[in-house]
Amino acid sequence: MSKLLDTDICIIGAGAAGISIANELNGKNINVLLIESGTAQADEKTQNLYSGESVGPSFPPDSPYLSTSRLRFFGGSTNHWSGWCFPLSDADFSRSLPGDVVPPWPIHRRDVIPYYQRASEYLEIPSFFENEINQYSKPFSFQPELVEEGVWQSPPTRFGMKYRKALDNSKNIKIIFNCNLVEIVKKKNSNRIGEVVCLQGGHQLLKIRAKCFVLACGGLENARLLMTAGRQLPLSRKYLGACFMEHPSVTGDYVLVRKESEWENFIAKCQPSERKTAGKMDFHVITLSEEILRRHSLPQLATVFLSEESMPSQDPIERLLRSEQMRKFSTLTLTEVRPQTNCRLYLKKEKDWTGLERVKLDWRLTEKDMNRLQKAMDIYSQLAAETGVYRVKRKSFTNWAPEHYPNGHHIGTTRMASESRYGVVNSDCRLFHIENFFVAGSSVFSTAGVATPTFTITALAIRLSDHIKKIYGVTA
Amino acid sequence: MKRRTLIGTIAGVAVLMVASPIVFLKNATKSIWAYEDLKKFKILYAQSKFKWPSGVVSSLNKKGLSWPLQNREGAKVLEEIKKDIKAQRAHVLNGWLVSETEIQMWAAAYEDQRID
Repeated sequence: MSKLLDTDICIIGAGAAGISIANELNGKNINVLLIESGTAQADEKTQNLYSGESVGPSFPPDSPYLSTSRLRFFGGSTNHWSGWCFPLSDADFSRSLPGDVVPPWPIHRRDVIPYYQRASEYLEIPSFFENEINQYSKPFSFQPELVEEGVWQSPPTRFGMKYRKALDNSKNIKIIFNCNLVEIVKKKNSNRIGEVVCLQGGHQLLKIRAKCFVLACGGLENARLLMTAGRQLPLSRKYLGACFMEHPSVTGDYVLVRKESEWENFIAKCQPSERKTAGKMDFHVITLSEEILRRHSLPQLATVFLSEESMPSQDPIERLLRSEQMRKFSTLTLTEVRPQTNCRLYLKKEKDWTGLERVKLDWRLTEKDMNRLQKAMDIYSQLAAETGVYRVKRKSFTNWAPEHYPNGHHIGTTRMASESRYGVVNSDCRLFHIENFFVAGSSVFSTAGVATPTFTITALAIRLSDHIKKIYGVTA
Repeated sequence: MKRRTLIGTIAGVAVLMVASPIVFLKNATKSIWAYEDLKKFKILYAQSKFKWPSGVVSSLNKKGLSWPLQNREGAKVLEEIKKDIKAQRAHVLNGWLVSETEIQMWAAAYEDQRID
């Protein structure tokens, strides 16, 4: 026996994107169902739905990446994020590199800026408002080819805890827990979704009819659900689940900075504070200027100084350099990879307990990726040395090494594009060829940039909620 | 006797006055870079198949740097390093970008100390 529910808007997934959209629709003249796979607490059975296989040289054998890099309970992965809020740059939206197989974003940064401002409220970083929007990114005075970009520190906001009460008290929003999507049903002879079928509590089938559906289950799960529960939909098989991107990080590399008082400020700027200043711009990442990226066709990188290293080194060159009054810091560098159709999710034969196929994620950095990252690091090292202020130890990218690791940023598997031949959703985050089904989350990002994704996920979710309000005539 | 002692003392002080800056400068050079590191640098440099710089002192002099370096030359050295790197007169050693001026300084320091 199945149960049937009717509503106006059905949001599937209660992470940063789903909760932001629900919150935006709170108190409006529209009924909303917010569907959560788990409960308010993590539980093993629900978390197990994320298990799968990660293959490719980017992962060690038996990597637990798919099950540990995301959380499946109310609030989603905001239950374990670190709170770094870093908006995408103009160039991240518009830049193409030679050999790119897909175009960049079909929207500009200026389309998202107002939503970054609104997202800053959700993420409790009010000082993002206080800064003039263009002031967060500026060239270093001593090297205009290097740019300092502000990173704001969210407390970090745990969306589940922070927004649960308001949603519980809402008159027009209902949360259903323990509810897992198993089928998306398209209306016959129509390009609309009529209903979705969920498995509630592990055994009860629940059909939900709605005017509009939003899938907000995360950067990997959105694609898996469309590939399994939505297998009958007319979606681009080329791009659904493809173009997976991460921010491979490099740690264990070092910089030497001159011990002169005028550079103390530079160090302080580029070092996340040990006591995080929630709500404020906490530190700067060092990135390459758009001019340098364009001139050399490079991917972006973003580097921060971590702890100061006082241990003597075995490296004679480093010791000779340090004799010239230099301080040593370890650094963390996030790097950009470009969308590739062979970095993708595949369905396995094995099914989870809801009856949907598990996934295999194949993520590989191509030789071209490696060469570009090498070139970007070499140019960064050259630009740093030119300043006379600091020196960067060059890393070799010829092989994927243990000190290069993914960050749990799942990007691009239902990418946004101007035409269906280049992606899965349009610039309104709506599935191509389907009138009333939207996707929210980092899966819609067309390119990854180097910005940590939560800020953009939240901004795009608010943008989507405005779109939904507009098309369904939602008012207060 | 007293006169001889006085002359001897004056001569001794004079010798010390002339010699001490030399000793000081030699020691200053040694104290900046450890000889063990300079030796390893020479081996690394050779392994990189770069030609060991000859006439290092004169090439430093051409840059307006006297050898051994003095503290007040620090800013000048930094300018030379920046100029070298901008002009890509630099090599990567153990992952570090090292300018030709630094290489010449280290080579000169190595040669100085080797002669000792």
